[in-house]
Amino acid sequence: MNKKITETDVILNFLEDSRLRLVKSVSFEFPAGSWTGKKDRNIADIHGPNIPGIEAKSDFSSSKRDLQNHKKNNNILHYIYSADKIKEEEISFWKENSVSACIFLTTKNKWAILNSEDGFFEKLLPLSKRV
Amino acid sequence: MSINKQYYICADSADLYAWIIRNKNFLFDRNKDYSRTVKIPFNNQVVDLIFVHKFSNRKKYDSLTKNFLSKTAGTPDYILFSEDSENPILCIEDSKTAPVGNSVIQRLDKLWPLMISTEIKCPVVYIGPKKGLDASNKQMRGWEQSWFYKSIAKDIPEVFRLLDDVNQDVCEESFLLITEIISKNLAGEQIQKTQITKEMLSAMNKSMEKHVRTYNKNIFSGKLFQRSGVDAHPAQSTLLLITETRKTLGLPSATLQITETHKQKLLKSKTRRLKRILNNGVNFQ
Repeated sequence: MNKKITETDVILNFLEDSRLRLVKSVSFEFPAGSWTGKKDRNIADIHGPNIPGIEAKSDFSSSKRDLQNHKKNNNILHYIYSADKIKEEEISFWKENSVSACIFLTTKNKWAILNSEDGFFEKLLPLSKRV
Repeated sequence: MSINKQYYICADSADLYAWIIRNKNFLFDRNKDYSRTVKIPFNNQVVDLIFVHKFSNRKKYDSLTKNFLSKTAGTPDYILFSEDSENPILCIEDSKTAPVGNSVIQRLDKLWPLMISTEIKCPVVYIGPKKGLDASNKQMRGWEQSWFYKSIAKDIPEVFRLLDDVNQDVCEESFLLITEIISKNLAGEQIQKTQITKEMLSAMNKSMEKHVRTYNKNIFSGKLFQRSGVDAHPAQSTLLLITETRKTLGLPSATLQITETHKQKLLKSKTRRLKRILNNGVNFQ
């Protein structure tokens, strides 16, 4: 497994691992192939009528940039991304910002949840898919 | 244990794989190289449909598609290969939105060279809704109003699979077509492409001259670059269709009536679309 994976693979992994718990009306917005146009920032990468928006990024640094850029971030409180291991900086960053993060650990092929205040990610990902 | 027959689907878009995972109850595997295998039952056997997404495994994607994509100027959404063939057995571009007016041909730069090539033997198919909401005037518009539909697309519905129902899912239609082609391949049937004849092309070229404002006789006067200098995709795509069509018909090269700045930008450009236009042959006025 690669240390870091693309945003598309983060979304697809999340979709595969949560598919039995996601209702059909939840939508997935993939970074489209050849399309380089501007994405509507009012739409999170994963969104639906009964779940808060989830923003997907390939890694922690791009997730951090996204959250800190108020022009880009639209009050999204749930992020997913990939890493080979979790660093102290990530744990404190999400806690300080009161945002939940779900990290796909490429070395374990499972998800780690950080700063889970609402138990949101736990509801979507079965235990077998989490570290 | 028997080994499943494998098919590779080289995908520029993750939409189809996501649709299958959400809507079909097939087993699937996440492979170490980040290709993804879906196990699809066909009668008494199971087929491994292996998704190689362009942005997940570029090396594998390029190795499978390099030869095929060298014959066009863009990247279609899905290119299907069987494990025992270097040449694809199907190529699909799908779109969730209905184009309006001239934007029909502005979307075909990826497909048109493949559709009219006699070298390409596999079906090359566009799938999308027939109608859609035109946001500019809040009216339903679509293919049937376009000259391209009237002059050619309506006569080859197996190439332009246009969906009547606005709620019909393009991924579902793409998946149906893929399984239909795999089924034929498993049965050893020949999978034939609908060949666009020279008569059809000639009629289309005449229609294009009549309806494309920037194309008159053999002169093209569209603006290939925006004021900012970036590529004007719609105009470039239109010119690509013109040059491909003229070349296939054996007509003299189109003459470009463009500014010197645009001419120099065109000559220096490294984009596949513009390089292909130059290779097809153009004159400058």
